[in-house]
Amino acid sequence: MHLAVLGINHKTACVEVRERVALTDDGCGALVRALTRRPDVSGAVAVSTCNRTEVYVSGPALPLRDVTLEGLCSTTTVCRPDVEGNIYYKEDGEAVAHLFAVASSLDSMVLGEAQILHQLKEAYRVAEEAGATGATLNKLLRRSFEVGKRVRTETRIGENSLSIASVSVDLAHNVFGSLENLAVLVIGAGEMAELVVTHLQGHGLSRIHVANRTFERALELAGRFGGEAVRYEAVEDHLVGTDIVISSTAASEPIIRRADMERVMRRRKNKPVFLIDIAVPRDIDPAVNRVYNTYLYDIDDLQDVVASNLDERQREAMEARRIVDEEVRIFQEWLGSLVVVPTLVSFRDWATGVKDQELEKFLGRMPDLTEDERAKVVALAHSIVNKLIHPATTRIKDLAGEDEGQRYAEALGVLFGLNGGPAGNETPPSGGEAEKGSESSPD
Amino acid sequence: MQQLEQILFGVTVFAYLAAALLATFGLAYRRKEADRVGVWALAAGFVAQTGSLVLRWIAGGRVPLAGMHETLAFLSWSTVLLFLIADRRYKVKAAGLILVPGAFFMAAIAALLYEGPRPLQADLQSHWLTVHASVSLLGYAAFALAFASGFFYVVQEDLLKKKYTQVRALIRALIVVLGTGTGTYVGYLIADPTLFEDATGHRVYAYSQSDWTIIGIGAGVGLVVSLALGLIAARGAARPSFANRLPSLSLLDRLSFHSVVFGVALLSVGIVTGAIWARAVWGSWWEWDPKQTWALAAWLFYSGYLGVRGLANWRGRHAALLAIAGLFLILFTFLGINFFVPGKHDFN
Repeated sequence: MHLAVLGINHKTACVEVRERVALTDDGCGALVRALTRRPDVSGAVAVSTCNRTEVYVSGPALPLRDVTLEGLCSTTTVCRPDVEGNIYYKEDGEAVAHLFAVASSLDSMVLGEAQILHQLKEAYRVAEEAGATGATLNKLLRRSFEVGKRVRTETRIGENSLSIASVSVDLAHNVFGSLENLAVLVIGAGEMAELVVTHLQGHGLSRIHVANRTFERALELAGRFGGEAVRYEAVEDHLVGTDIVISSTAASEPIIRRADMERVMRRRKNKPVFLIDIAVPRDIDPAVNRVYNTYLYDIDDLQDVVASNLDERQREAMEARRIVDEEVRIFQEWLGSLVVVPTLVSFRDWATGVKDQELEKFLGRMPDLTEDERAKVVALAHSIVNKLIHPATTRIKDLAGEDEGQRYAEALGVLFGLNGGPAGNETPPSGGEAEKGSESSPD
Repeated sequence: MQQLEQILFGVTVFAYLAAALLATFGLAYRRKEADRVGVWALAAGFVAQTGSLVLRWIAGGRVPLAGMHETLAFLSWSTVLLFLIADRRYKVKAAGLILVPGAFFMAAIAALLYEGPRPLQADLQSHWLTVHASVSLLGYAAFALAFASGFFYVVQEDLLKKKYTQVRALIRALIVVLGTGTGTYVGYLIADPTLFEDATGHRVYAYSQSDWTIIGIGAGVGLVVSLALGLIAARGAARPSFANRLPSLSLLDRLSFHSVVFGVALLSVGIVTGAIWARAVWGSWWEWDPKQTWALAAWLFYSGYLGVRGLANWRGRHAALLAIAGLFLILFTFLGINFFVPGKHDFN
């Protein structure tokens, strides 16, 4: 059984192309059903997210490129020449490696994001409901979920925030610990400011005050956050009772200066305050950061944190790739054994058959033998046959993960006139499980 | 029974070492399993040490709180006790980075100075000793906890304020001070200067040339090791992800404050019971014994901390720096005194 993947992602195509091959759940279902109706495809799973559309297929022979691409084109409105330059197609080991990398979020636009694993699981569910997965893809997809999980638990690829809003939340946690019962003051308006507030709210922040040059606008924003509008002129008074300040006004001059903050700090009795200045030009004088127990972050400071975090994720990605490589090797061994095991089984059946036949003939001609002598003859025949087939069998089993092993199995079939038959008896990759047992973490 | 006591104490030392290494590894590489196993190792060591303390108590027929081995052992036990409580209540694994190695060092030095339990001079036997010594040492451990949280407060604040770039020097300096101090002290213990009485009847230490050499080597080794450690730690720590692994400023500040409150309360009881005991054995409440004097100085210092915190709103960095400075006063009271002037507190 062979595997292949054909797809388009954010690295190979812009959104104009991706959106044309994007599929709904129903579309994925229809595609995999259509593909598996064809004789050269035994299983199919289609994944479609905003950054990728990929079809995983299994079949008795390669290549599976044309059949898969045709299927994709007939399910979507796109025609082949339009996407020919954007698609990638990988077979067997490379296809497995690709899926494992996708599941580990190594192939994602935002390195280490957790969403892709859910999306893969969803795609798998759809294909399973359509009855299209087939035994090999079943195994492959399930293994990929394990790999994705393993990478997330054994590396820190999913840690350290990568957006301004979540970095702001991290910093607030660093200063205050729990954000519950803290008060935030939003000065000005803007998309980024709203995003930061929403993130903070998601972490339990409760009291929100909004100030704006025009009070009506403040009222409107306050309504949206479920907060309270305050007069712009009274900002300094409100700073006294606020823990987190988010400033994003269009003012051309700083609206909070060091001397202001020092006054406020005295009135706050040195209670810490965290200021986020996402305005350009900046709203808060950088010298404010030097005021006791005052923590000021401007947009560049926040971006530096994001860059440092991304850097760490990339370092973790190296470890993740090592895990993926290891898992690919284990899976390939198992995949290879699928090819050789049926041949080996029929080889053994053939040898046992010959032995039984000859024994029957021989014992029929020698009716005078005692029970004991008969048993000895049977044992002798048994031992000779086993010794004869043993070296070939173990050698091929050892090489099962490589192409060579599969070629020997084929040769064995030709030489002894065996018909191995399709890979029916799939067993889990037990060797692989045992090998990684010590490394996998409990949760 | 003494053998069992020694075995348990040996287990303690190794468990503390394992816990210290696991805590460092857990924080450096963010492995939660390492943290978890580390806390279990620490708890196991704590149980073993409790066992050895009890055995020693039974064997000696008195509370094991006299002599260097016993006081250091008890101090390491108290430190671990307070850390385990603080970790449960405040979730401050990071504080363990200082306290657990600290407890390990104390236990290890105590093991080097091991001596079997022996009865105390009859006049020192008193229930006041039990209360006085145990409460004072527990108070020292509370100040060590205040130090550890103050230390990480300063690190965390510098990370946040200086935007992760200019903190290396600070972290290096803190580690070097700790390392050199430990090295010097170990050197002093190994040198073991002779004690004699001078013409006026005062007991003083005589440091020979070789004693100074040994102390110098100890300090040198501590300096080199901590410089190397400081280089590695400062590089690893100067980034936002490390700040995320440290407790929040608010929590560190609170823990430091609570520890000082607790420590001052214990030290007050320790000083008062000490005075009562002194009255019983020396015949006067207050002797201006060097240890008494320095304990009083430490008490005044920490009371001052509480004062400025309450009156001048010295929360945060200033308070953390005081808690850091305070521990040096405590270390001097507990260990440094013996370095220079012998007093009535060495029961040799």
